[in-house]
Amino acid sequence: MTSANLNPQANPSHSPQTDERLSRYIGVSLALHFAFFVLLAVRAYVMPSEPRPLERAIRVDIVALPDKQVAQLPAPRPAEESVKAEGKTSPEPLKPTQPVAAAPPKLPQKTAARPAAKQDPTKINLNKTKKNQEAALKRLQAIEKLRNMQASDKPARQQTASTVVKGNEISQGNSLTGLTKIEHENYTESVHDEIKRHWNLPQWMANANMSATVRIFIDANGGLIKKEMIRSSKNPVFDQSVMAAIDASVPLPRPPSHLENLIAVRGIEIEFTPSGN
Amino acid sequence: MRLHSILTVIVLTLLSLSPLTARAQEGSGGLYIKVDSPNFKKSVMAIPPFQFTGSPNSAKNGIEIGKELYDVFKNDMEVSGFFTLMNPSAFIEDVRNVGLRPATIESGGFKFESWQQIGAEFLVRVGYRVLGDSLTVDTYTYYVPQQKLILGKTYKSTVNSVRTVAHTFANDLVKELTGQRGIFLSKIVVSRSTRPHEKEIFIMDWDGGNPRQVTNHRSIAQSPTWSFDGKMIAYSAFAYHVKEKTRNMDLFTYSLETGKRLLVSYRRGINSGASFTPDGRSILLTISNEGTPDIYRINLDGKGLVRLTHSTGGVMNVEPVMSPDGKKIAFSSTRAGRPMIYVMDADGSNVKRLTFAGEYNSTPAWSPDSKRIAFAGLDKTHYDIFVMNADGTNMIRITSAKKPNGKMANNEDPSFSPDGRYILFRSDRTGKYQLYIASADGEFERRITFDQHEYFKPRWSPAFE
Repeated sequence: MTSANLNPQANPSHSPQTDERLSRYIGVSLALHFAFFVLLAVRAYVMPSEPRPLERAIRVDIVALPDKQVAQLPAPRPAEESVKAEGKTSPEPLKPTQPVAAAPPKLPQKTAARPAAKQDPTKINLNKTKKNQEAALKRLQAIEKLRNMQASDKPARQQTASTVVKGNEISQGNSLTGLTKIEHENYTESVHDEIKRHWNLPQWMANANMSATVRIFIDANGGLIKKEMIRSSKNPVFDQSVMAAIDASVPLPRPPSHLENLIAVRGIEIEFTPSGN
Repeated sequence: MRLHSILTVIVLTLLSLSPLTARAQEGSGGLYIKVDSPNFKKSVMAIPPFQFTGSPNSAKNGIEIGKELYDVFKNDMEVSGFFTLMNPSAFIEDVRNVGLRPATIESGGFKFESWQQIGAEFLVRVGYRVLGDSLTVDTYTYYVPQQKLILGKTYKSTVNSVRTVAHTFANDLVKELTGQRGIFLSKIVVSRSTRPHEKEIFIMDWDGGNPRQVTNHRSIAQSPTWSFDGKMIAYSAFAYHVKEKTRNMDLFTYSLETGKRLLVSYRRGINSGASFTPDGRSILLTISNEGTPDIYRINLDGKGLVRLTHSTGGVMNVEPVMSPDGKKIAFSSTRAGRPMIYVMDADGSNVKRLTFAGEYNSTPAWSPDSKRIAFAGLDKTHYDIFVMNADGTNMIRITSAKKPNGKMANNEDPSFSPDGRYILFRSDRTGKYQLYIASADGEFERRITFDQHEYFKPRWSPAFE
């Protein structure tokens, strides 16, 4: 759009005034753009918006029949040897001590009359003592065996055991970090996992329709400051199991700094509700 | 111009501030976490030997009875899945010297401390006596940590019913503790080899006890099944058709209450693979008189035949089973080339394929809550039992066993227990097909029959009270 014109005033696109205005407007425009970007950056920092849900990629091959899962039993502990050694040196490790204190005065005579502890020096019956030692040893072994069985029982009933199935492998997707909300959700998830790992309930209560809620206060290192039952299940076995779960999961993961205060003041409310499995 | 700029700035600012929902995740009282799946552990149970409390001259007979009572009850407790049984050598107190009840109630009673110390959570004290033909059993079950009696019950019956008494006690204890019905009075119906080339139908206790023969066709009787109320069974047997001068695989029903036997379908070809519908009015089965085997529904009186699958080109549709909620039918079909598991609606529509892996998947069985299906699948050289969700997802293998010659054993014909926690199946891991049960997650297996017979297609009954 150039029509040669001798009069500079008549052609706005070439006047120094226009150039000046043009450059001014460009400057304003650039400044506004820059301000806009700064505003967005500040906003992202100060007021984080809802992050998009990021899910892990799952790749599944469905052409092969899965293998059978075999629960690994722990290797038998060398408790057997220690039990034998104990049996030889102290013949009565199972002698009841505490209950006697609580019993009425009549009973101590009965318990003291247990054969192996007879204080009569003239009539020490070697055979009988030996038999009692062996019986005590057997009891200890049976109890150890029972404990081993119970310990190996542990992984058996985890509801969400990670089953690796032939042909079906879950690959770790990508998960972004850095957004506060995700960090927050990760924290509640890790506390949840820790407590769930330690919560044991007898099998016979599996379908009991009960729940209990506990509030706990933890410090910046995840150590327990206080725990209180705010809604009991009315069943002492259930209540005792949830308290034991909390005791066993301490120290909990350290809270992210922006949650420390909140947790210290208001605590973490944990509801225990076994859902039907 | 300036207004324009100001406006622009204001608009931009507003835009950048708008989509803001910084939700306070915290709620009113700090963080909130819900924990919903605990680790379930078995409780320790101590079952000291049962005490004979009768007169000394009936003692000899009594000891045998007491042993059977003890063994049957102990087995029930182990299989219940709730308890770990203590080895009797761990007991401190000798139960022969103390009473059935605690010392706080009767003099000479047992001490809770002796059981608390060794870690017992449940203690079962039983005394029994025999007078002629009658058997009386006194039971006391205690929860040791609270020193509390949870079940005290006496059972009176005859000496012949000692196993039933033990199973009833086991059921009562499970019911008291968990609120659920026990499965210990349930039964198994199965086809078993009798004479060479002959098989008959047997009914036995869930633990293999008291086997009773209920057919005497002197031919091959197979594929038995229970009605949902447990009062009737259906099965197929080779029967001689006089007019056609040939044997045919016919469908029979047999009432356990009345002993009445009915011939329901005797069309030419196969009338087999029967299963009842939950409303108890009809039977689903495979009939082949129209050519290749298809699935039909028929009323108990043999009338009202409805065809549910319509195969073409030699496709076989067999082994129909209806889900306990009456909505779907699972079956095995070769329509994709190899036998696979399918489901369809109760009227035969909406057929959906469930399994895609494997080469030969058959004998589907529903769990009592209609949520899972078990089946036998061929894995190259042998069959194993698999369990999946009713939509085909989350498949797991339940069995894996070796035969004495080192080859993999076949595990077939699965059937769920009435509480859905166990699966009954047959396996040739010892050389002959014997009956086994496995927990539905594959953790635990137990042999049920210990004989030299061959067993085929066992089915677990509903829970009897």
